[in-house]
Formats: sequence, structure tokens, C-alpha cells
Amino acid sequence: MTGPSPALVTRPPDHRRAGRRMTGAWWLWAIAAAVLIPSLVPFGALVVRVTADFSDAAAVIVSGRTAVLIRNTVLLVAAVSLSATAIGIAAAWSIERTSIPARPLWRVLVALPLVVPSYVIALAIISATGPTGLMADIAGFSFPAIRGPAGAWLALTVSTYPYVFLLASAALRRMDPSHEEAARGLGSSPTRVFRTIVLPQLRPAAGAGALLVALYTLSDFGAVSLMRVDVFTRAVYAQYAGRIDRTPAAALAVVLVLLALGILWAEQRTRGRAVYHSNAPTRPVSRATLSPRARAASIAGLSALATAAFLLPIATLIAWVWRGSTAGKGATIDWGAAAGSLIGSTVAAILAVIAAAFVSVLVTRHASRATGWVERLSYAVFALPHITVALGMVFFASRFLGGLYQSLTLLVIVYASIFFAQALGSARAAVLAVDPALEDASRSLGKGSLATLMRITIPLTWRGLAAGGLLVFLTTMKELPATLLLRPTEFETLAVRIWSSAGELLYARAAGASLLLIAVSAVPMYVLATRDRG
Amino acid sequence: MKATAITCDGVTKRFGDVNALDGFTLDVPLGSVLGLLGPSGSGKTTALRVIAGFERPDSGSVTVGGATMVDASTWVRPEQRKVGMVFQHYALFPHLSVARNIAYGITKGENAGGRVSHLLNLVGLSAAGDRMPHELSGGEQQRVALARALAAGPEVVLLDEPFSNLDARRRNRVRRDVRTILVEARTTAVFVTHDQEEALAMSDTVAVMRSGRVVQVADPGELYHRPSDCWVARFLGEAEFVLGTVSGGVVETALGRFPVAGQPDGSVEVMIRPEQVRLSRDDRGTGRVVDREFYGHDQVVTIVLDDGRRLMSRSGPSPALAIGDRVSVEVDEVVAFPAGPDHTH
Repeated sequence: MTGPSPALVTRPPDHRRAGRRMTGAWWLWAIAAAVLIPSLVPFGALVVRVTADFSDAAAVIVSGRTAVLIRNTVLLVAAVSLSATAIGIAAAWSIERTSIPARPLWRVLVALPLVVPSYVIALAIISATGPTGLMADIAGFSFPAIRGPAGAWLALTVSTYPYVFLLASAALRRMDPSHEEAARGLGSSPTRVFRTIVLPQLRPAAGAGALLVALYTLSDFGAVSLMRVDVFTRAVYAQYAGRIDRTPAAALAVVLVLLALGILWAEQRTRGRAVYHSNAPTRPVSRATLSPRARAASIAGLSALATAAFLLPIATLIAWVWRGSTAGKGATIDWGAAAGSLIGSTVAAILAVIAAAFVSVLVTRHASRATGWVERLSYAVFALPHITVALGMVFFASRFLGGLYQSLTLLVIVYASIFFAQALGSARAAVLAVDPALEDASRSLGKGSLATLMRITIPLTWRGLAAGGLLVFLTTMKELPATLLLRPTEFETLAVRIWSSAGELLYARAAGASLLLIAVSAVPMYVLATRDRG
Repeated sequence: MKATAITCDGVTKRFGDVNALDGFTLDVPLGSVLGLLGPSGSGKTTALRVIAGFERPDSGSVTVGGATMVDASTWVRPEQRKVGMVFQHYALFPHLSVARNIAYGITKGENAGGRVSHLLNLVGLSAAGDRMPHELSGGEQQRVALARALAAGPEVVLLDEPFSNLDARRRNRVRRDVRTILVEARTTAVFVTHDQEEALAMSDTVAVMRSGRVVQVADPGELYHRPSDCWVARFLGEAEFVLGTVSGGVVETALGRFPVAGQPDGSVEVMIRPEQVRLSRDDRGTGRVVDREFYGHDQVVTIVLDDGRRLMSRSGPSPALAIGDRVSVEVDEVVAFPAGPDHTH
């Protein structure tokens, strides 16, 4: 599974060598502005809100409650990052670098939790454990309830380790085997080679993966709220939902943004270095031959991982749906929510792709410091917790946008803006693969820049554009906090339905919606995962 | 004075700290094929891209067909310039057939179909209209690119290193084909190359570039025999330089005395090209053969003179000389340059 993960975290390129002068047609810049403004306005609105009520906001920020939130959040982020990184590297190494049988099967099985959102894993854990859980029901005795910080840690580890796994697998496959052979030739044991040669080369990929996990955990709302963990995203939502005065929510959101910026900054730094470590191998990598015992242990470990991370959660969901339908309580298919998800995600994906088709030309063919900022900002907005974008947009829209507030139009615009970076990353790579001389040729044959874009660039990049669209579609399908804050009152998505049903302990209904969500996501996921193999 | 198709005047273009063009000035006569020759990094391609409108110069002006394309107050976009371009890697649109590539620049309603088949005929590819670019050989792609550039009815056609992607065996034929097509189409053409042989063979006029400016414009024969300085002389082909002293229209060198025209008395450097050096076996001669490369249609013989100087001679397959033979040396007419710091190049 070469998977979509690298494209989820497209890195803004190095602009040190780019020209300084801003070039590019005015309409390209207008489109870039049209995409960035809806995603930047919310942060402005948050800051305005906090400064307008500065004494109240400051009181919230310096309160003991905020200190508790910071401690809980940092602990959860650190714990999930550590466990997801360890699992991801271990799985990647045993699959890519040992003589384990059925390698392609393991690659897919271990990466599969990518299609399951964190709140669905959380739902599976909650509904399977505890005195009223599925396991108690089947086994006949009460299995300890997994809730709170431990539950959130488990759910988030399961849903994030695949990112580390994919990055580390790619790095392991890219490594030049001659380094390891040289070390072996100099008399090092396999263990020493792993420690002194493989691990250091793996560090950039693993570091990038760990920071990605940290960012994901910090931003997660669904799993922590179902597990009732007192961290920032949940506190922001509680303040927003429960009180007339929304200044405390804004103040907490600002602290959350600052935490995320800290992680982003660290991530950018490690990634900058990571680039120089990638080296195309000339030969296939070497694989360690496992002893029969080590081989059995590896297979057992990977089986346990795939079972715990994917098979058990799915089995739990299926069991709930089956129970619900036999008991005749609420295991119907949520057509309305499914339609809402499909419409919202499709429109958002189309908007993002159209904008990306234009902006990708701007940031590649007219690269300058200014276009570097276009990319950096779109990436930052994508990486920051969506609940903060949504909250800022609530402030702005309720005040200035009147009829657009809580409209489907505004919701899809926010979706498209948040996930624009994914469409841009994919489109950018596609445009870079097109020889700029083709566009020059078109210009010299009398076609203007818009005609050239329509007749040459887009026909040659549509696959990349479509892949970006699928990514946006996938992530929008799973989106929860922005939808909760900005949706029209009658508008439902599968994500919202899963989250609210799980909160009301309607597990059968939540499980049905979850399976529907996974089924709908699996199709574009499959297309993305297999597209590079022709 | 002949009419000019392109006039570049004092064009300057910087990329960061690099002066790609530094006072680039050039007139291209109407209907001629001009070769823009220079070593890599001399600004040839930038000059072409400025003329085509893909780069905007920092200063200077460009005129095409009498109309100003760019100066301090004018900027004509590339699509409005009527400048055809053939790119180094041809840049054929991979998603369009050969015929649709050629038709791309033809305005609808201009009898596009007839024009496309006329051009396919002109470049000798009348049967290839429905094929896709990747199904063609390099030379065929080259000709399609040329047909596409001609299709839009340009004032001038620019070719960027047009033959660099062809293997040596096919290059000569394609070169002749392209020249024939250009002459038949009665187009003004400018092509960029770093290959002096190609420039001399293809062009009516050659402009030699160095460090972002034109250092000499001349027809091929003139350029080869009367380079304006030692650098141009060396760049255009193998040449040895010997120091000499001119007095009264005669230059005195270690190789003998030669008549030179138009040189004031004083120190000079004398250029000797290998084909000017004639050898004959002579046991009392002043040189000794140390190497011989025999090509069939000609040969290059390297000798060492008694004073230790090396000299090369290019001649037909005879005389038959062997390494170690003693030879006497005769040199035809020579060109002299005032001795200066340039001789170190």
C-alpha cells in the first residue's frame, strides 16, 4: 500500500532559489486569495474576539483549568506519538526488512486502519468493553471498561500508527543496501547494523511521522470527546456549545492554535532535513533471514496488530448492526446522513480541485516568495485543529455573513479551504511533471495563459488533480468538528450521526453509520492506493 | 541596407547574480538563417527566450517585423508576437495527434485542414497526421515541431538547440532537411547552438556570443578565416597561436615569415589552423611526427618541432606519415591578432 499518506502532508517546497518578483496573471492571484481568505479570516476573528474581551480572555488563559488542559493535552499527545511511532517502525521493519512471508498482504492489513476515523475506533472500544459492552454480552462476564485517557490513547494510537508505518516503510525501501552490506563486511552483527546504520537513516521519516501523529492527536475531537478526556478540542467545543458567552472558547482555541503552531514548526524543521536523506536505491534492499522462532513471533505480532487495530473494531461494528437489526432497534441505514456526507464531500472536493488547478500553476510556474506563502498558509490551515478554524468562522459569519451562517454553502467553502492543501499538493506534483516548454509552445502559438491552462496544462494533469480531489473527498467524509459547528440545523453527515449516536449510547445506529462511512471511503482509498501501479 | 526581421538593442537580463544577457545587440536580416553560437552559459537560450517573450528583459529593446515587442514602455505578450519556436525537446503536446499539434496555432476558419496537410507535406510527413507524438522518431518529432511553429504564420522562427537530441549519424540529414524546409518556407530563422560545426554548416550568418553579448557577426567563411579575436578563433575550431613580430606587412615567427595585411608593426599572435599546416617527409625537416589519427577522408598529424612546440596538421589521406618520421613544415596564409591579454583564453 503506497497509500495516500505522503500526500496528506505535502511539504511546501524550498523557495530559496525562487525568483523574488511576483509574476502570474491577476486572476491566478485572485483565485489563490479566494481560497486562502476563508481559511485565514477565522484566525483573524479569533484574535479579534480575544483582544476585544481581553481581560476575560486573559483570565481564562491563565486559569488553573487551562493549566490542567495543557497538561492533559501534552500528555496525551506525547503518549500517542510514542506508541504510534514505536508500533509503526516495528511493523515497517518486520514487513519490509525481514524474510516474513506474504509481505503484500501484511502491507495492506497493517495500513488498513487508515480508512477508519479515530471516533469510529473509539466507538468500537466503548461499545465492546464495560458492563454493557459487546464482550460482556458474548463472554458472559464484565470486561473492564476502557474509557478516559487510556481509551483515547488506545483509539488514537490505532488510528495514527499507519502514518508512521507508511513513511517508515517508504524510507526503508528507499535505503541504499550497500551501506548495510558495508557494515556487515566490516564485521558488525545484524543488531549492530540496525542500531548504527538503519535507525539513523530512518530517523527523518520516523520523526516526520511522529510529529504528524502529534498534530493529528492535538487536533482530534471525535475520539477524545467520546472518551470524555479533558483536552483542548473537547473543552473548546464544550465552552462553545454550553455558554452564551463564547469568549472563553475563543481564548482556549487561541492556546490550542499556539500549541499546534509549535508542533508544526518542529515538523517543518525535521522535514527540511529529511529531504536530503532520501536516496534512490540501485538494488532491492536486503532482508534479514528470521529464525523460525523470530518468524513465528513476527507473524504473531503483526496478526495481533491487524486484529486489534482493524479486524476487532470492524467485527464489533458488524456485531452491533446485526444485534440492532435482530432486536429491531435503529439499525436502519442512515440514507439522509449518507447523502449529506456525499454531497458535502463531493462539492468540497470539486471546489478544492478547481482552485488547485489554477493555484498549482501559480505556485510552480510563477514561483516567488509570495507563492511560497500561499503554499505555507494553505498547509498551515490544513494542519491546524479544524475546530479552531470552525469556531473563528462561527464568530465571523454570525456577525458579518448573515444568511450564509449555518448554510451548506459556507460549510462546503470551509471544507474546501481546510483541505485545499491536499488538492494543491497533488496538483502541484502533477504540474511539475509537465515540461514548461509545452506551455511556452502554446503561448508562442498564439494562445493566452487561460487558453493554455485549459487546453494544455489541465488535460495533462487531470489524473493528479483527480487524485487530489479523492483525498479531499476522503478527509471531508471523516470531518467532524467543523461540521458540528457550521452545519445547517437539518443537515446531517455520517460523521455527525456516528458521533451523536455514540454519545447517546445508540451503538447499533452509530455502528451502521460507521460501516457505511468506511464502505464509502474504501472506494476512493482503493483507487488512490493502486493508482501508481498503472 | 538589408531589411531586418529582428532587432535586439542593448538587452540586459539578470537572474539573481548572473548577467545572462549584458548589452545583447543583434540584427537578423529578413529571410536569412542566423546561427547564434556560444559556449554554454553565454546567454544564447536567454536571448531566444527574450525574443519569444518568455523572459522579460531588465532593459533594452526588441523589435520583430518592425514592431516593438519590448522596450521601456512596451510589453507584447508571447501569444501576440508571431514568433514561432521550436524547443530543444520539441515540446509536442503529448495528448494531441500530429495533425492537431500542427493545427493548434491556426485560427479556426483559416482553412485549417488544408494548411495542416500542406505543412505535413512540406516536412515530409503526409501520412503521419493521425499518429501520436510518442510514436515518432526524434527526427520526425523535430519536423512536426517545425511544422507546428510554421503553421501559425510567424514572422520569424526560433530554434533552441534543434539538433542536440539527435544521434550523430542522423544529425547531418535532419540538419539538411530543416534547412531546406526553412528556405522553402522563406522564413527568417534564428537557431541556437553550442556546436561550431553546426553553426557554420546551417547558417547564412553566424553571431558568436560570449558572456551575454554578441562578439562577432559574419558569414561562416568570414568568421572561420577572419575571427575578430583569439577567443573567437579558438572557439570556432582548433587553432595554434604563435608569437610573432610584424614589420612592413610581414610577420616573423618561429615557423617562418608570412605576409599579413593590415597589421601595424609590433608584437602579434598568429593563428594557425591545422588545415593550414602542410607537412612533407623530409629527413632534414624541423619537426618529428608524434601522433597520427587517420579518419579515411582526412587525417590529423601531430608533430613536435625542434624547439619543443607542438603543432597539428589536418590534410587529406596522404601523405602517408609514420610516427617518428621527420617532416618539414609549410604554412599557408595566416591571421594575426595584436598580442594582448586575450591570448591566454
